[in-house]
Amino acid sequence: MSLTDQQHHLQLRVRDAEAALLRIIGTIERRSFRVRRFSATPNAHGDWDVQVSVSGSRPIHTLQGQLEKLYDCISLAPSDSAHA
Amino acid sequence: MNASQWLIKAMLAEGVDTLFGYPGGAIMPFYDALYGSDMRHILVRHEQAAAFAANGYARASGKVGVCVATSGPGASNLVTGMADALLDSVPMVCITGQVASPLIGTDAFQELDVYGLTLPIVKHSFLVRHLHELPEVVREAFRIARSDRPGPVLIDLPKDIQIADASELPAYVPAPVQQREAAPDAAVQAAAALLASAKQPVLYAGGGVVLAEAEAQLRSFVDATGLPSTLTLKGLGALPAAHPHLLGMIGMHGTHGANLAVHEADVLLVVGARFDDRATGKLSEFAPNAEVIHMDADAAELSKLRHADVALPGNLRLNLQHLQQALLAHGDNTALPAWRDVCQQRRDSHAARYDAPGSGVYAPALLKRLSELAPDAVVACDVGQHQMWVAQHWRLQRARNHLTSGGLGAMGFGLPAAIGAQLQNPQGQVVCVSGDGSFMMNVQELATLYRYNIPVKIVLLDNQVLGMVRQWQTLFFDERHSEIDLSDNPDFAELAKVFRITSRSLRDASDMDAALAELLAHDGPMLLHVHIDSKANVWPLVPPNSNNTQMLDMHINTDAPLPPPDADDDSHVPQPMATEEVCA
Repeated sequence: MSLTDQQHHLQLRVRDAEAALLRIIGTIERRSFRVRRFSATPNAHGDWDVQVSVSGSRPIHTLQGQLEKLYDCISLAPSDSAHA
Repeated sequence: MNASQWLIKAMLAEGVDTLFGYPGGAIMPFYDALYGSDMRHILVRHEQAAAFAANGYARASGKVGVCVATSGPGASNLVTGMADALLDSVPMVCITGQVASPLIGTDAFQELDVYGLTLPIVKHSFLVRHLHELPEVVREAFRIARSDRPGPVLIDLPKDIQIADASELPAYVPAPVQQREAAPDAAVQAAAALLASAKQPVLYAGGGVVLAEAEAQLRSFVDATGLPSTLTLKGLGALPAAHPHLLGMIGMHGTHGANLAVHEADVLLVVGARFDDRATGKLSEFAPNAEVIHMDADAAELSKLRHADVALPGNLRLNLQHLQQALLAHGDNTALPAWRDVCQQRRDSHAARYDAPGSGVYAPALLKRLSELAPDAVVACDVGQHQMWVAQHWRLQRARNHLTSGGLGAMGFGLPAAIGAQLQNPQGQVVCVSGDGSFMMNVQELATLYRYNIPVKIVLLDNQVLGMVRQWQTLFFDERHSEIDLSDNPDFAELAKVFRITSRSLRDASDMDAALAELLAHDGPMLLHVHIDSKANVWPLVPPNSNNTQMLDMHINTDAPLPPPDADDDSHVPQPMATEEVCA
């Protein structure tokens, strides 16, 4: 993590579909952020609740916009901490 | 009815009339279902060409293009065409056969994880694990491919699913087309106020206008507001080439008029464009004094690379209409006429010249002439110098008439894309402009032209070198010309004849009009092999890591710098480049 990097926490609801979690992680890395913490838990709706902490030097909204476009991303919100 | 037969019926219901593909082991049940069906299938000679042909079909028509391949190498050969569709937002559905479900994950013959392989280059993808998923998969695949910002969608279909009994599947119903909402009125009013008070406003429009089918709205906006306007490579044709307010293309090979106007703009209205590095040059020095109004259907593009002072997400057509109404309500912008005059004078004083010395064919002059002879033609380019010459000199009237691999820059795109474009409009004129490097990447598709008698006209600009690479090596790598020599090219006119395609060679400018007339009049496919100067360059050129005012420009004889067109304007003077600053 470089000195200019900032850490961000995101909370996502993700469809339980083939490679859905890979798409999330791949998008994070391809958009020049690094995954610092990642957890995924099945929820009562049959989807994944995902908490992810990322670091990067780019504005976080540039990543959020790309994640929100993923078909398997049902919702996304910034979170205050890695344990949200 | 099995699932393959059901799938073909579903695609017919989606309006698909043509598939581009190549059969093989894991897709054989699908090809068996094609036999005797109402679906037209074009057998290409390489799967990459299937993807590019579907891509060209989609670009020219706005409809979803569909390509088909088998598992393993068939699937991997589609990859370049899929990536091209992602980067240029082309609606495509790519169907690949997969080994039977019990064999997935066993390293079976021609098993390839195409689903995993293509994750970063698709808008979305599906691996059909169960027959009952198929209707929803197909419906969603077509909806996703064409909706919002279009793109490629993969359907990976295991062989056992293809032959499964589908008699219990429901009749297929396509998903309804959903219109996006317009931007909030407050944002539209803010944008209008900014433009109304601007002293030096400029409009910069891109391919998003084409994707949104908003050409009419853009033309109405520019006509009504009189904003000096520039287009990106992908936006070319959204305003006709001779439009009085059009300053030309922006960016690395853009015009002086466009690049200088944008650099000096105090308000920049960006419509369906994304601040691509080939358009902006050095981003930190792009339009340094401008407040930005950014209108784009893809919200993720807003403030991605350049902060938007006013963001207008959503429906591009509605947003253009609303902004036009709101801006006109402010009354005349009294500063605009003088600024427009400056822009237009600068454009005119730097207009391209076609008076090349010597008796050889000057490619820009040929392309300009051909576009005048065939004003309604679709032109499909390959990638390299000829691609930029088309962008600069072809007098485009309509954006969907310009098929160019803008984002990926994929050599080999041109001929198959032209095939796709011709098949979606059999009565139209389609021209493929290629270079000797690019052409050899999908040369096998001459066989497809012959088989189906597809009347694509090929203009092969042969400089016996990888010209764009040579130009960069000359300018930025101390003339160390590494691996660019193609002087042992075949005789392309003879090569075409081997494929039973009519051909002609052209060497002298004095024969140009006759050769072009013969080409356009020929009934069926034809190749015109044009010999051009191996040292010709594309000018102007903004060097890497430079801002768009730092254009290099040379006279068409490639030796003498152009005389200053304006004593007060030294922006054309070549700027020295430090080698360590060079990056592609």
